[in-house]
Amino acid sequence: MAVPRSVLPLLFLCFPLCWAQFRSVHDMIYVNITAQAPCVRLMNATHQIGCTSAVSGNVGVLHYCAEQSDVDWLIQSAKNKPYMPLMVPRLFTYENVQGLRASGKISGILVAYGNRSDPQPPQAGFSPVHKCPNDGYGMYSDHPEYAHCKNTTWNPLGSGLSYLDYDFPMSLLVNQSDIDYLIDCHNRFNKYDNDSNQAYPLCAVQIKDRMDGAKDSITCIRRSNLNINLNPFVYCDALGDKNVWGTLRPLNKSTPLNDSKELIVASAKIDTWSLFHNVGGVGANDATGFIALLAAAEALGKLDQVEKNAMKDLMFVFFQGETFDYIGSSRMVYDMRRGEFPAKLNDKVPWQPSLVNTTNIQYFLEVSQVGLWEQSGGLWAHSDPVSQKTSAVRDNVNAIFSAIENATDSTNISIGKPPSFQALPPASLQRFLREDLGVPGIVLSDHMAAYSNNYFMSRLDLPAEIGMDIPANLKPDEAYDYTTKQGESLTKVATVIARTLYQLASNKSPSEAAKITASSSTINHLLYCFLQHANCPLFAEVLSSKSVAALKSLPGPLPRYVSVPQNAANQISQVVANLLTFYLGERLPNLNTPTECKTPRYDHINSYIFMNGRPVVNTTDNTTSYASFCMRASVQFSTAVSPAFLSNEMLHSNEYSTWTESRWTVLNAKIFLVSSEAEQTITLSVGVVVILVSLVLMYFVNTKSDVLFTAPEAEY
Amino acid sequence: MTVKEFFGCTFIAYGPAFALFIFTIAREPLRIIILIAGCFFWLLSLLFSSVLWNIVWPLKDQLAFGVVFSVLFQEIFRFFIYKLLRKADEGLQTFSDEPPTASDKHTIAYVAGLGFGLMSGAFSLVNVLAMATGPGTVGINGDTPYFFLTSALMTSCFILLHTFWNVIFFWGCDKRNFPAVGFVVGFHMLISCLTLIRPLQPATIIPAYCILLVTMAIAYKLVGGSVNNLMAFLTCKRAGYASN
Repeated sequence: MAVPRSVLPLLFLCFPLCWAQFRSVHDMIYVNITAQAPCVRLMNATHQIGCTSAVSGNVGVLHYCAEQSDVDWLIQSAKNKPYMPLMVPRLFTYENVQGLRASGKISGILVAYGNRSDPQPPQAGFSPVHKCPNDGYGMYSDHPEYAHCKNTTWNPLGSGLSYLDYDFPMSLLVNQSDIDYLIDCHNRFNKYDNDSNQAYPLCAVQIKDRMDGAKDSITCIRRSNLNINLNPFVYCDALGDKNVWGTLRPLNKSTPLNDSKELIVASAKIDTWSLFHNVGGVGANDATGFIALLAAAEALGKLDQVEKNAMKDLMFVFFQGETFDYIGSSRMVYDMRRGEFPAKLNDKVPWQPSLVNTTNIQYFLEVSQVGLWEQSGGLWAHSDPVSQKTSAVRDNVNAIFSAIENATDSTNISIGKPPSFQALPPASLQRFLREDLGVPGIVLSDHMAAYSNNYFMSRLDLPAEIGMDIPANLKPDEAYDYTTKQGESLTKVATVIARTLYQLASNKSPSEAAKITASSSTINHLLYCFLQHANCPLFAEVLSSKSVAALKSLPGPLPRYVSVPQNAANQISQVVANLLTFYLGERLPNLNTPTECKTPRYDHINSYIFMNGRPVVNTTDNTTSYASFCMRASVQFSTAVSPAFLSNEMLHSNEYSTWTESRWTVLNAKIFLVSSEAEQTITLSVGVVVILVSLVLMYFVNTKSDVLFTAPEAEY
Repeated sequence: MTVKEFFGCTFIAYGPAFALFIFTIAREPLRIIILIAGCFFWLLSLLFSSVLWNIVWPLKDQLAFGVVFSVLFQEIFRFFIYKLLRKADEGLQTFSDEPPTASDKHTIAYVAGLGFGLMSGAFSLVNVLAMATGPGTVGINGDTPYFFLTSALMTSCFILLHTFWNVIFFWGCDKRNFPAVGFVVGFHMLISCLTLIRPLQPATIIPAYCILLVTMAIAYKLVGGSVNNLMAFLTCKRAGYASN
């Protein structure tokens, strides 16, 4: 609590015992940590995971752990508990966290993640999520052979670190100056002389991030719904955001899809997760799927209108919240099966897209992680063995596979089929098949069995790990155009996807499909913008001027955590929607202002987006203006909040994702010195002695005042 | 800093004043009125100091300016309360059952001084104590780790100093003994400026307590004490023998 400014003049005037420095007492004791990404508490129907501090915050003696020996020292011989270790990322492993936790000597953990602390991912790999991601919510939840990844362990490196419940806080420090200050404070006060007892005062840290929600989502929602006073208190919110979907050609209810099976769906997930809240720049390999799909959408969007009209309906879907038990896809399937996707038909609205159901889907192509195919010997086309027992499904799956095969032949990528008994990896397609085994689909990925990505769903799934090293000496605009190794290989993947989709949609020969190529510059730009710096020319061109301004303050890439639903879609979903509109839509040259470029009220098929455009420098007076423009495309958002939160029965059904995020009110951390217990006791004892002596002395002085003061002056 | 240290410092700073209050003031309503008057006048001096500090904005960051004028205002208001209490003397006596004695004037001076000191003590330490309950202790920016302890000791010292200064000041005014008045103002200024030079270090505490001892001795002498009386008190002689 800082001393309010209005009190300061009083304080410093009134006492003669003012100190010379014009500082509040708070500033003499505390130094605030300026930025942190906390580990927050999440809950599902049965558990709580994540971290919380005590109500009054957790305090611990700072210990900088730069080497494994420092951690071992803490666990084995540290005496002044509780401690608050500051770890370099390399040491933040399952074993160390569990060891420290079991030692009972720590009150929290800080992880240094500044721009100078090299993350140095462990060679052995690091994945803090489960070995079997999204277990129980895919299509095999009670299949005798495939349930719980019995058949294939997809993420063998998964330690489950992120899915544990911690009763202490953990924070990622993202500001290098904070980290430097902490290390300096550690060196000044806490330099341990091996095992000898350290002299006080010691440098300590307090983290305060009490989580309001507790136990599980069901309890938390029930508590939030109790209206015991006029100010209802909400303890947690369901996770969710918006899916982005768009079609190459508008779907119109005047020509319904029926069950003719003429719809092709191409999907990818956009979200990822890290233990630490909303840290951007993670999940690089995870992002390759949707980046490749966006580039493929661009390649197909360039086709001329006549050709597009002759093709089958092609729908691109970008799912949100898939990390948390398939939030986005489960909701889309739920809406589809109820005849509410994209929206209930309404006679009062003349222009509405036709209803889409799972039964309309002829081919489903999902792009999973595809960044590491060169290491794993090519792309792999996964399909589901259960649904392929039906010959119609099998034929369609084979049709997709042969289209991919043709496309890979022309791009020099090898494509493989995992053994036919192998189940589908975790994918949105599983949610479609869970409801409707008649959906023929393939999941395209860079792994045959276990993930090629050794850093799955961790903050170490960094661009550098997928061959996106950009020379450090490049200027931002050069880095933006720089072709990385990943850029080259992902362009090939995007081309394969585009050609596959073209072939499936148009029934044309592979040689005709070969005219379609994904743009390598688009891939470079997308990779740069999504994984390095969101404040980049491509985003600046396709976003509204307001959103562009918001990006300016962002130092790195956009966070891709699904978070809780707000009125507007997450930044990342908004960017994907605008890019999809930009790639699939048409320019409307007559609409030149944001007010003109509004989606008409009768039109529920298209959306109109006014984009900021590229900067144009006026050479005469050196001012910059923007070549803004209006785009129209049939691109829409759809709700990505789990159906579990629609009714109480569904919340208890185990059918849908039940993840919620706890709310919290205070989030701060500060550095300060602590004195020893002995010193504190001495102060208290001195105080007690002073007051007792005063009381006794005054008692006697008062009763014997006639003895003490006997010679008043005569004049008085 | 923890709850332990909070209580430790509170006891150190306010313990002696609390003992004085309990045994000499609490039971007499008249004295409580005078005590509150003392508090009030100290607050008035604070108000005027603050107004001046706000008006003279270019010197806002100059701590010495604030300290010097604050001391002057405190002494001016000490004079005002002297004037007021002497004017109210007869009126106040009507509240008292006992006939006025010679030592009553000293009592009034002492009680008003304690009020003066208590209020200054409250303002100098309360904000420090408010910070003291948190987990941290002073020192991360190189400040002395004994900050809380020295603050408490200085506060205690100042409460007692104000009490004794008031006795000397009132006596000086009554007797038109200007060296006595000058002594009070001078030493108040001296010790305040001392804290400016070496803020709250053990080095300031020792001279401050030396000044306190000197001031206490002078005040004791003025109100009728002597070495003999002190010896008599220490050897537990009864009042009758000493005065006879």
